[in-house]
Amino acid sequence: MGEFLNRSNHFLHSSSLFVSKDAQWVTTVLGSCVAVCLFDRVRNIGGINHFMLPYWNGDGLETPKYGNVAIMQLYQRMLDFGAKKEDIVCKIFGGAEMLQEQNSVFNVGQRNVDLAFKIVSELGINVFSSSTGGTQGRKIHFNTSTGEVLQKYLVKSTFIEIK
Amino acid sequence: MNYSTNQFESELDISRKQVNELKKENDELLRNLHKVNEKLQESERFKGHFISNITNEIVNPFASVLALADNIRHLGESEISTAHRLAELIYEEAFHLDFQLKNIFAAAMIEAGNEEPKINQININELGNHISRYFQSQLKKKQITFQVSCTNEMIANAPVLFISDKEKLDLIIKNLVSNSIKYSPEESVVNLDFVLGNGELSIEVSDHGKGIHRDDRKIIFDRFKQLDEKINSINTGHGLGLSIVQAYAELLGGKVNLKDNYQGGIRIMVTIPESLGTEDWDDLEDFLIDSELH
Repeated sequence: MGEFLNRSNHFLHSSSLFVSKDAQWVTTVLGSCVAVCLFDRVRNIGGINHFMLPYWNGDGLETPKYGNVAIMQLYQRMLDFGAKKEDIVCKIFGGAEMLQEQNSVFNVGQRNVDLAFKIVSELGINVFSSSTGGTQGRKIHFNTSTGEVLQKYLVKSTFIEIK
Repeated sequence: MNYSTNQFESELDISRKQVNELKKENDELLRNLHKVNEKLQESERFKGHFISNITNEIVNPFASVLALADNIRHLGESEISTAHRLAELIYEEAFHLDFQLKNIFAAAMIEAGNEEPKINQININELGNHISRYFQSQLKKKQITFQVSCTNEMIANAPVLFISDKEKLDLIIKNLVSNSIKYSPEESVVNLDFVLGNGELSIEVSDHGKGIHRDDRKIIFDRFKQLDEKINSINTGHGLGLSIVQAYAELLGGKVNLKDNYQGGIRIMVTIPESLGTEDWDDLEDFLIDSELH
């Protein structure tokens, strides 16, 4: 963690992705969104995305706001950076149910998580670890040169009203 | 016997309910599938238009710029007024080209997931002036009156200063104003109103053009979508503008609203919250607890 403070830090916004060959801590905050972290264990290349919805349905631009776009783009970007498919491992985070919706059609968090696992397994990448679902948001730090992830949960009820 | 019949019936009831719920979900998914299918067909159609669109939008303006510049090169020394006229035409062509290319690159950056807000303080009054200078020649050509107003609801008569991403706001506004000018009749009025209040900036662009039919309001944010798709349409552009407006607004945490203008035409309102800057996420630390997972 001491190392954490000394290294350059990148804040990852939703609908974007980040890949680096250098040591960087990437921070992102997830509610029902999902972040897929890919890491090449041999070449020490790390990449992470942050998507909000499972599928792009043709609305607006074809952006990494959507899981199917975000994961394929991240995977491609990893390969562009020299990563090899057989050396890539994966960690998946997020997908909390923030609104406590019971209706499965609107169950965005769970659908995001399902999609992430589905696409990653279709790519033949092993999921090393994951922390998904639940009702609490997460803040994660991803180290692009070690693949290490630190996670904290957001506590819901402690927000103070600011006037 | 009686008990088990009751039990059977109540179980049957639950099963019926589940079947109904699944049916509903199935219907919803089918509807979505149908929609996506329609979009797919549309994008196939668009591919056919692509080459002609690119020719219209990029190759033709370049050809004109080259031809016009060549003309100027061969002018005599006494023909300065002709040179001015030709330079004006070059400017117009280059202006369109520049605007289209900016949009294409912006869309490409968003789709690649490379966009992130670059936050600084913006003087909205200055931004308004810049926009009105930027469109000067198009406004003059169609004799459109362009009215800009800036209101600071928190401090009356104070300049409107706002913390956000200047370049993205700039392109949002330019796309909205460009559309309004494009679809407005000659000698009409286009308004650009900024209102700062409650930590939010609202940007409203309104015109007196033909407006947008209610059925079309959902699809205009799709990329490459133009309501008038004829190849020889007098309205130029790729149909990228509004999809960029929406993506940028989302990136800045805001939203886009469409309303009818009171006297015909359309009002588009973009509301953007003041940016906290990413450093402020560190304040979240107080609300976080360590998880068991590392």
